[in-house]
Amino acid sequence: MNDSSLLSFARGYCLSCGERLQTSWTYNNLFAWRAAHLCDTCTGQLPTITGPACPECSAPEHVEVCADCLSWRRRSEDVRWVKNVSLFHYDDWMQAWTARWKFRGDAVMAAAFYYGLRRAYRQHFRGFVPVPVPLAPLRMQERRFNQAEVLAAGLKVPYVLALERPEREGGKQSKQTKRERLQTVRGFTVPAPEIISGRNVLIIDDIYTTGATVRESAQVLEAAGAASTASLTLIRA
Amino acid sequence: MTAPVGMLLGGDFWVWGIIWLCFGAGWIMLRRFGIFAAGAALMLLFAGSSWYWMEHNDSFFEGTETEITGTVASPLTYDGGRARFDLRTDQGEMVPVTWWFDTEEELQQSKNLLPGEQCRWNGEMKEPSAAGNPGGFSYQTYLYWEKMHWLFTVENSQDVECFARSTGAVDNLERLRAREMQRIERFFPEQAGGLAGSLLFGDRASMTGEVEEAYRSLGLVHVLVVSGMHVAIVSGAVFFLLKRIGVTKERSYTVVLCLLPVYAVLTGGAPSVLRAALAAGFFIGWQKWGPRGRRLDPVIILLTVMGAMLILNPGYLFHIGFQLSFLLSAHLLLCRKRMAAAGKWGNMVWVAGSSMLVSLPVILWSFYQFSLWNVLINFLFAPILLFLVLPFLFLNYLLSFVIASPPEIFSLVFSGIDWMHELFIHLAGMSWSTVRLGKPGLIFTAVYAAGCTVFVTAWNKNVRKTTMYLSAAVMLAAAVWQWTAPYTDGRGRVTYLDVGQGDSTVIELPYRQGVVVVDGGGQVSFNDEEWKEQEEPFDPGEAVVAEYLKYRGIRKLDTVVATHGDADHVNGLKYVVEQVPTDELWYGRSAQYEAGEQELLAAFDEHTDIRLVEGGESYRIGDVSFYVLHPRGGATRF
Repeated sequence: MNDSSLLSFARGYCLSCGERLQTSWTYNNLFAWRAAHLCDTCTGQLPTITGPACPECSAPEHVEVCADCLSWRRRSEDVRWVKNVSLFHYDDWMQAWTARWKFRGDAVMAAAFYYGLRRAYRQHFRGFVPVPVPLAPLRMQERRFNQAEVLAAGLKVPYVLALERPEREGGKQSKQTKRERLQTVRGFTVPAPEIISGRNVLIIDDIYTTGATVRESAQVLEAAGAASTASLTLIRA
Repeated sequence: MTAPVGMLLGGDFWVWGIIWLCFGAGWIMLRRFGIFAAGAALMLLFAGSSWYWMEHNDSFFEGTETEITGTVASPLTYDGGRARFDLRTDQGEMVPVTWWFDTEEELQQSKNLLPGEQCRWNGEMKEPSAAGNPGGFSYQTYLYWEKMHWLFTVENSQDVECFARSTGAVDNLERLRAREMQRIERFFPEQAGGLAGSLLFGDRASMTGEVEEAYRSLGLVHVLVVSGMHVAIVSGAVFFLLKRIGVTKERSYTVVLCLLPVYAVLTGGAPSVLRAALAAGFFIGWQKWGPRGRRLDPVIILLTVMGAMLILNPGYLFHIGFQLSFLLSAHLLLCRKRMAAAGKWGNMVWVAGSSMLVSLPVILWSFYQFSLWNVLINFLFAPILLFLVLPFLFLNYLLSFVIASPPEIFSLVFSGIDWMHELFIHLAGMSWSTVRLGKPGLIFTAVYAAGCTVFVTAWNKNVRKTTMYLSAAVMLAAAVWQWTAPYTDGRGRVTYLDVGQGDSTVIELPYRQGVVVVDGGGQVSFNDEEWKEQEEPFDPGEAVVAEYLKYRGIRKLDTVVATHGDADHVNGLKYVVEQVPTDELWYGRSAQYEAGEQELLAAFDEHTDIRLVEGGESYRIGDVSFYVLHPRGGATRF
């Protein structure tokens, strides 16, 4: 995935609202080598997760492990699970953003979050191998890019396409209820387990809603020999 | 790329300063569009312009001239029986002139000589003195960067012949400035007058030296400088008035644009005034003619103004006022968001504290020490001076057009100003409150600069407390290192200082076991008529010896030796003993002392213990013995 040529067209303009970037110089960005991708207004609207969050899944406004995670603990077999880290909540702004990015195919918008993702990676998951969650073949044909892979590429760490996914049976996940999602079996496979065996694996995805996708991936990866699993997702819904 | 340019310019150290500065500016301004190309281009531009500037920084004089013709270019400032001013020759070269008067009438008459007068003087050319002592001030270098090469002295006050008056706009403004400065001097009581002269017309010479020095050492001198604050207030007032009488916004922009250069000249044209006026002009010009809807970041304006000023006169780079003015403006702009978030009181603490921190590397580099009162004094008095005293003085200035002397009810405020200055002098005089580190050198300065930049950045981001603590720890460690370095240095050091007549010797023992000063030079004071007495005669003790002690970071003297009682050997020691804590002073033992000696010993006795010594005695300081050779008992003294 190479989006630097694409980005050069967008340079100097906000990736979200298209306004010309007029960053105010402050100590905050004086020594930042990277160019800004979002204008000050849009940056101000980002629903960044700041306060206390569930230490296991980044669910906002939790101090201890949330009920969701506790139930996962009881249910699942991914015993070497570490945690999920997310950067943002899911609010209206983020929803509109995702719709444009994912469903209307504005793939380059992800560049706005590369820096944040890289920082989270360095802070929490140094040494982990990024593994993006795959798309089903038909969906991939339709969308032409895998959003999880775009995010993984942004980490600037070699990532591994370790997971594969058969053709989907049900409809889009975003159209399903929680129960349906939890019951769906995606049927992930690991075609070449030797690549990840004995290593710490970091699953990359765009959004963590119920955790079903990520947890199933983790389970499969552990079964294939991963030393431990964790996930880094852009959004915690 | 930088290397050939540097070599071309003779490998001068300051060239590298400029190059790094440009590189930094280029990086910050243009990193989004091809950093290196732009940075290199900017660097070449600066190197080229400074090379050109230096090539053309020559004098038209040979030094043998006994007559000089030109236009008075600055108001005359008086000290005792002499006046000083800048003269502009027909070729445009500036020459500082010192003019000695024989009688008081002639001195009074000279007050009619306002800027713009074209006259001819007889006198002699002198070369300005170079730095004679390590760490000392080089008047020659200072003047070189001001494009001045000679000093002209007029000994006979009648040797002047004026024949015309210039009608140039700048000369007319300077003449107005001189008149207004005289008006202030007549109208205000002394202390307030000095303050008004500085704050309203950028005339620092009207302040008494002691008070100015106190402002400087407390780190409050920036308040005395006409700067952005004043320009903002003045142009704000003009805008308001124009709006009131129904002038369109576009028109008022034009009016203010025309007024800015006038104001800059009227207030003396110091770098800080130029900075503020240029930045305001740039901003208004951008509003007027710039592309619609494109906001220009103030930091970019500031950097552009700095670049323009340096291209026109690279000498500004070494002007401490220029350095601090740009550094602090940039700093305050860079943390304006954080300050806005800090609330009113937090804001004030932030301004005082972080400004001091950021200016510290520059202050240490130039002054070798800083005052612990700095933050507190700035927090308390900077707002008082700017928001209460300045408007009060301005009101009085306006009143001076109407009445002959300030109203009686204001006398309380004037004595308040006197009292405040007394307090400043008192605080600045407390030697414990001054942290004297000595000249920091390149590496220490780099560590301080990097440390406080990292600290302030981390403070702004308000995340990663560890970075903050770490950078604070590094700075503190560097300061402790610098403080203790002399105590670990096994080499002793003996320095002979050039104090004019005779010399002064500073002996630093190995591992700083002790410091001894032998003699301090001194000016012989002739009993002159009162009008001729200088307010601040040159004192080598202050200008040379005490300055060298600062430079070396010497905080305490073990012994000061006064070899004999002649004024040109010991007068300078008075200031030294007064300013630097001194354990004892040695003086030759004698059965009886002359009146002058008794006076001198009494003066010393106020600040230190006096030990009378005699030939044959020896004293140990650390591992070193000092032998007294003279006077032998009953022998005649020098």
